[in-house]
Amino acid sequence: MTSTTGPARLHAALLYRTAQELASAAVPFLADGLAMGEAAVLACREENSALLAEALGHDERILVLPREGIYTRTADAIATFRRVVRRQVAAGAPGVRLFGEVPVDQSGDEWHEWHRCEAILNVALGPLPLSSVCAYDRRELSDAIHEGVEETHPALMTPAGPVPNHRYVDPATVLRRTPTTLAGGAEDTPPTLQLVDLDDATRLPELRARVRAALDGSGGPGLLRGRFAAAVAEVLHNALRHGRPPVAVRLWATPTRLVCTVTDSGDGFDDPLAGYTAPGDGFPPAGAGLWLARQACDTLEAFRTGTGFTVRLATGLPGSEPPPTPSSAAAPADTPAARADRARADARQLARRLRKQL
Amino acid sequence: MVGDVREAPGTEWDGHVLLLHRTEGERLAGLTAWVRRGLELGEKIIYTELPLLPGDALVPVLEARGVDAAAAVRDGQLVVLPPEEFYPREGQRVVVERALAEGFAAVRISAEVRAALSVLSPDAVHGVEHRLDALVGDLPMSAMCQYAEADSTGTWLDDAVATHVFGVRQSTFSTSRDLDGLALHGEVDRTNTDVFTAVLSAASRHPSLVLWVDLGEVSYVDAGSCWRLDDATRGFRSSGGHVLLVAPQPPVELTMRMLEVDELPGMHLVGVEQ
Repeated sequence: MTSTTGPARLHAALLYRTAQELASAAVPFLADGLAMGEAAVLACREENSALLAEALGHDERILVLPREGIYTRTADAIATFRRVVRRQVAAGAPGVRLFGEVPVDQSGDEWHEWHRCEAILNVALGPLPLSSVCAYDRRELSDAIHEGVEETHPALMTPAGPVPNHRYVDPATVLRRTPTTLAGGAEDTPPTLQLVDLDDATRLPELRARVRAALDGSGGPGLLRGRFAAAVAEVLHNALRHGRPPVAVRLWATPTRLVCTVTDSGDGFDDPLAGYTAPGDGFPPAGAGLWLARQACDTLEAFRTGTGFTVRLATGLPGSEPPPTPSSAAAPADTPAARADRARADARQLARRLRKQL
Repeated sequence: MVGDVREAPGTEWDGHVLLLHRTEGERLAGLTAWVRRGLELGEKIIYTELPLLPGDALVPVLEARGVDAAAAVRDGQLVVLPPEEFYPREGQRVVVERALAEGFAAVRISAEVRAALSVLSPDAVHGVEHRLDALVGDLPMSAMCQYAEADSTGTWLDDAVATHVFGVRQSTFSTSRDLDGLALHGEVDRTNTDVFTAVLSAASRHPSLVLWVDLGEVSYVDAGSCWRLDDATRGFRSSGGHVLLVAPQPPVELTMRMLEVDELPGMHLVGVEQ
C-alpha cells in the first residue's frame, strides 16, 4: 500500500558466543548508522538490548522493541518491521538499522517456521531502507539450526564487518524444502462446512456469510475467527477469479484449530513466496488478497493435487473464550454501539484539529 | 441493501436515490419499497416507463407485490407519464410544482435510465441528473433513478454516482448522509468495488479538506477494495486533504490495518479497537 523506497540492504547473521562478541559486532554496526542519521532499532533479549543501549550512550534515536511481541508469526514480524521502518523514515531517518535476536529455544516445528521466516525476510523486507543483523548465540544452536541460519542470510557479521555468505540459499528453494504443515488431524473428521461446485463470484457475499456462520458456531476467540474468515474470503475470491471452476471449500472448526481448504480445478501458481511481498501498484494490485490472507492465519500452503490446486489455511486456537461473568458482561457503556460513538467523538476532535491546521 | 417489501420502507428511500440493480427482481423490489414509502407518507408519485407488455407495467407489478396501486391511481396519488411528459423541455421542476399545486405535501418521481435515454441523449441525461439533484434540495421531493449495474461502468457509472453520492442503493452496499459526512453500509468486495470507488472519488471532489467516511455499518471490506480506497482518494490527499475512516467494525479495522491503509499519508483510521 505504501510505496517502497531504497535498494535492498544488508541482512546478516551474527553467530556469537559471548556478550562481548555480541557487543563488538553490534555497536559499530549501529553506531555507523546513527552517525549517518539512520534510526537504530533493537529487538533482542532484554539484557542484550540494555547492554547495547548503554554501549551506544543511550542515544535517544534508539528504539527498543519487545522481542516477544515481534517474533510471534512470520507475517506479524514482517508487518511490524514494515511499520517501524516506514515510521522512522517518515520521521526523517534515511534508513533503519535493526539488530534482533530470533528466539530459537523452541520445538522443531517452531524452528521450521523461523527458518522459513528468515528466508522470507530477504524478499519481504528487501525493498525497504533497512539493514538488519540477526544475532544467534552459537552455544544454543543445534547443527541443523546453525545450518538453517547460514543458508538464510546473504551475509555474515564478523569482527571486521559483514562479509558475503557463500552458504546462502535462494529463499524459494528454502521454502520448497521445509515443511509448514503442523500436526492437527482436523481433516480426518467430516468438515464442519462443505461448499462445492462453486463457479459464480456474485455469490461471494452469501458464501462469506456461510463461512462466518460456521466459524461463529465453533467457539474460540472472536478476533481469531474474524481473521480466519477474512483469510478464507480472500482465498475463495482468488479461486473464483483466477482459478478454474468448479471451486470447493471445506472448513473444519474444532475447539483448538481452524482449517480450511479451497480447491479449484486449475493449475494454480508455483511461487512459495506469493503473498509475502507487498502487492504491486497494478490495477487491481496483484497479490493483495494473499498478502492479507498470509497475515490473517497461522499457515497458508498452496499445492497442486491430482485434480486441481488447493490452498490450505490453518490457525491454532488457544481455547474457548470463557462465558461472560457478571463483571465482564458488556456494560451499557461498552457495547459495540457505544464504542463506535466514542470513535466518532474522537474523529470529530481530529477533524476540528485538522481543519484548524489547514 | 435493496429494500425488502416485507419490511416497512424507511428514510433510505428519501432524497435523491440511485438504484443500481443487477436483476429485474432487485429493481422491482427496490421500486416497490420506494413506492410504498411514498404512499405511506401521502406523497404524489410520478413514474415513467417505456411502452411495456401489460403485465410488466408498474401498476400490475405493484399489485402483484401487495401494493394497492389501482386505488392510488384512482385517487390521483400515483400517475404514470410517458417519457416525453416526464422529461418536458421546461425541465422537471414544472412537473413537480404542478403536483405540489394539487395539494400534495411532497412529490416523488422515478424512472429507469432506459426510459430517459428513449427521449434524451446521454449528455442530456447527466444534465437532468444534475438539475434534479439541485431540485431535491430546493423542493419537498424525492427522486429515484434506476440504473442497471451491467450497463453502468466507467465514466457512465462515475457520473451517475456523482449526482447521488449520499443515496446509492446496491444489493450489498449503500450510502447515506450522516451528521458529519458520508456513511457507508453493507459489504464491499469485487462485486461492487467499482461502485465503492466511484462513491469515494465523487465524495473526495467535494469542496472540503476533511472527508468524513463513517464505516460503522460496513461489515466487510476485501483487500482489493482497500487498494481502491487508496486510489480513489489519492488526488484529494495529495492536495492536502484528509480522509477520516470512522468507527469501522473490528473485522474491517483489522483488514485495513493489515493492508496498511492507516499508514497512507492523509488517511486516518479512527477505530473502535484502538
